[in-house]
Amino acid sequence: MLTGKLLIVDDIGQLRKLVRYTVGYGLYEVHEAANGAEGLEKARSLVPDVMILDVMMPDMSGFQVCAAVKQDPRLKSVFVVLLSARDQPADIEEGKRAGADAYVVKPFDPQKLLEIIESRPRGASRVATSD
Amino acid sequence: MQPQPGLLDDAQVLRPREHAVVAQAGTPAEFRLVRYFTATSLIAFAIVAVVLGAVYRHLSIDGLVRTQEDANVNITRILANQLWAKDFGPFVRAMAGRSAAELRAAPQIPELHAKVLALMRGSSVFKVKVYDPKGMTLYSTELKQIGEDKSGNSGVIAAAQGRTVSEHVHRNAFSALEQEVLDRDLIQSYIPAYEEGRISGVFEVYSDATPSLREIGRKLWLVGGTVVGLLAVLYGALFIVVNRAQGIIRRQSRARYLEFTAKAAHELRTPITSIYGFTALLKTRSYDPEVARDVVETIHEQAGRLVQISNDLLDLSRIEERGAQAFAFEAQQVAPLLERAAGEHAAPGDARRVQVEVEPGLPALRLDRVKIAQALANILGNAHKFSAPGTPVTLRAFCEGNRVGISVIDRGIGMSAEELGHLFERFWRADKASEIPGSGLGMTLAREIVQFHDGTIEVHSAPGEGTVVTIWLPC
Repeated sequence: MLTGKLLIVDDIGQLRKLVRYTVGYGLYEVHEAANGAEGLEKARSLVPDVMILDVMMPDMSGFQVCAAVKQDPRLKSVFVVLLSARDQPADIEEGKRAGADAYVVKPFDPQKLLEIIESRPRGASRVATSD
Repeated sequence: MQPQPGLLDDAQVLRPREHAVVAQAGTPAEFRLVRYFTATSLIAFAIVAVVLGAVYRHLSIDGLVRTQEDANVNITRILANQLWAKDFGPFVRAMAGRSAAELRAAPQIPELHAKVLALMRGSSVFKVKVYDPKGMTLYSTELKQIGEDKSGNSGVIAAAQGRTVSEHVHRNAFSALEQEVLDRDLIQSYIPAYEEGRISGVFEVYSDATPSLREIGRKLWLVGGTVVGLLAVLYGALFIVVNRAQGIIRRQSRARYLEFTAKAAHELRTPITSIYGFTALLKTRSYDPEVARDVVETIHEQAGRLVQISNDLLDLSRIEERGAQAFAFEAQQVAPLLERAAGEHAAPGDARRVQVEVEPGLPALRLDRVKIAQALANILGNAHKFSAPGTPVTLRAFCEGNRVGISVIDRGIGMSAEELGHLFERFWRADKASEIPGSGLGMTLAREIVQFHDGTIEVHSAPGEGTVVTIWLPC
């Protein structure tokens, strides 16, 4: 049974495929976007439960997309996971400021990524989005 | 919903990296050279300054000796005019053949002495001695020297033959006018005295040149000191400039190095993330055979990319490290080279043959066959990757003036002016999404190879129309 909608935003096809293989196949309804603008557009039309965002993209950074998502009243409860090759405290801090829910450093163990997504708060919090 | 700090704090950092330690680059050879040159030229300047100083001093003393000799001759002339006819002449004749003791006891001495001293007063002359033509000391202002035999003295001999000779002498102690004078520079002259046309005696006159020599010394120190001071300031400034330049270059090369390693690490990250992730999936999950094959295919493809990146990096570093020594130049015909390049080139899943056109009568070129083939393979690879199957790719060689052009022509997607600006950058890729395999080093490598052949690479491209890459080699 599918447990929710998931949107992958990454300019690199190989990595979209990796995330798709990790969370797809019966777990999530997976959607993909190859750049930040497309990701934001799809997020607005799909309103996914989870967004997996690459930080380094040519048009918009993952931080920018994340901040835009979190500022959108309809999308603020989307669980955003940032994917980045950068593991410095300053990068993680920037992710936090952008409002990300989790920060995953590449290369990553797909099982752990799945665990992070699965452990997200669900239910009550989604209802309490009227403010 | 508030962001979950717990989740973020648990952010998965699979491999805590240690910060890269960048080896501090040593002093570049050029700067060591500048330092050596500066130090050596400073020493050379110092030697030249000392030599010039010595020459200046020597010339000054020569001049001084000449002017003092004139003074000495003048005083001698006065002595001779006033005293020879009435006093010294008769005295010399009277004393001819007498012993030293008799000379010293001669009754004429006190009067002569008084007259000489009176004439010397007020002049720079220190001491006067009078010899007969044979070198016997008839008179000296230093009375105890009367009667000394100086027949062997070269100055006396020269003057007895009619020549006036002078020299500069330094005496740490000198007895003159019945007292010891210390640390003096003197001009000593031997001057012949004539009586009725023949030499009847020799005067030895010492005048004091100490003040003049001190003046010369002072000037020397002043000029020398100023020059040395200016040189010191100049070289000090030069050293500061060199050190600054070295610092700037070191920082720049460090920045370039850091940028390169960061880019290289980033470029390796994508295939590594892919391989790491897909193998982890294969380990923990069971897939349908078809899906599993796709996953393995992906892993293999990404591993291939790692191989390509590491090969290109190795080639690049070998060329940069060994320079021209990494090349084996020999005379080569162009046509077989291009045929081989076209034949060996096969794009995966692309049955197109590269069309080869070689202008007849091209001269043989001095080149490294393997390296040029590698450069051509990289360019041909790009032509294939960025053009649609079925469109032609042509390899054309032609002569223009004193150079040969080898062009790779495609009818592919082309590049914008902005993209062309990045073409030779390390790790720059036209395909941002990394869908098309490549290390991002192919064109950098091609350019390095061509530059070591004293050649250039020229690229013309228009989006949607295609690209022409021409390697120009001198012939």
